[in-house]
Amino acid sequence: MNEEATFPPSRDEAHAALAEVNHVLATTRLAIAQGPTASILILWGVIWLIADVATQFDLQTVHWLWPMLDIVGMLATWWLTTRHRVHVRQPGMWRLGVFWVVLFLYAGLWLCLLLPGDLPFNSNLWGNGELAFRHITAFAHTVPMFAYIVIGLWFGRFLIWLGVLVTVLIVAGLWLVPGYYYLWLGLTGGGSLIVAGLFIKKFWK
Amino acid sequence: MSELDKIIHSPARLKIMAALMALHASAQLDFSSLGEMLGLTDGNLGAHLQTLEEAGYVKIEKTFVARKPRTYVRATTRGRARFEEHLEALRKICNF
Repeated sequence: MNEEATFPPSRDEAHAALAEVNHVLATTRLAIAQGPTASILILWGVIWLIADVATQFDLQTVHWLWPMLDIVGMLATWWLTTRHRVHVRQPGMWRLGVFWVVLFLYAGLWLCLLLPGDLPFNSNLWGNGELAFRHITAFAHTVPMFAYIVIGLWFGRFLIWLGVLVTVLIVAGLWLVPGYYYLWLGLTGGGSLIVAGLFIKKFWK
Repeated sequence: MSELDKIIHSPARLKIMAALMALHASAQLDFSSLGEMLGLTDGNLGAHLQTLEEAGYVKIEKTFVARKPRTYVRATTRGRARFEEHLEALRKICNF
């Protein structure tokens, strides 16, 4: 690092110093903003893709595949967050973690209350039971998107737009492709998360 | 009246202050992350941070995370104000 800086600086040196400051400001902000977000989006996109496509072909998989992948996803999210190279400590950030926990407890409570005990075991793929299960699945998928929108209010519009887009796709699929809804969820919902993660990795530099 | 600051004007310290200014006023950046982002060795970074701390421009806090020592740095209100003044003075030189 060159420690020789003329004082006071010439016009060219002042220009160069300001350019360096702008560069450091931009790269630091991006390093913090990007954080582990891209990897976490890709991770959950892949989980949605695998679990939803599997659900399309066999509804019973929701009883073991989703819980298993959710646990893997949560552990991997924690691992990705802790290994991120830029460690920023901000008072009150713990509230973000608490927000996720509270949101999932709230959603979990209503899923337990709304999900009939015999679904999807006794569901007919084209019957009313499956219709109710499809709506409940749609609700479960919109919960993290709701969180993205709320978090986006503080951390940037990208997450807001992603949350809105995927929510619209989740809801639209209920009417557009009822027969292939889980496939739709996997490809559009999971696919959007993967594309968003790849976009961040490619362009947020 | 904006004035150049001799302490901040050093290239390494200018970059350190710029990186810390990118954070929210109450946020702290980890020592290792700062060194890695700016391409500074631990010794070099430590020396510059000590100079900035003695001037009251940064606050250094040593703590433990998972039983491992970790050092966090943040720009103080005084440091932020002096940095802004320094940038303003540089802009004035550019506009002459």
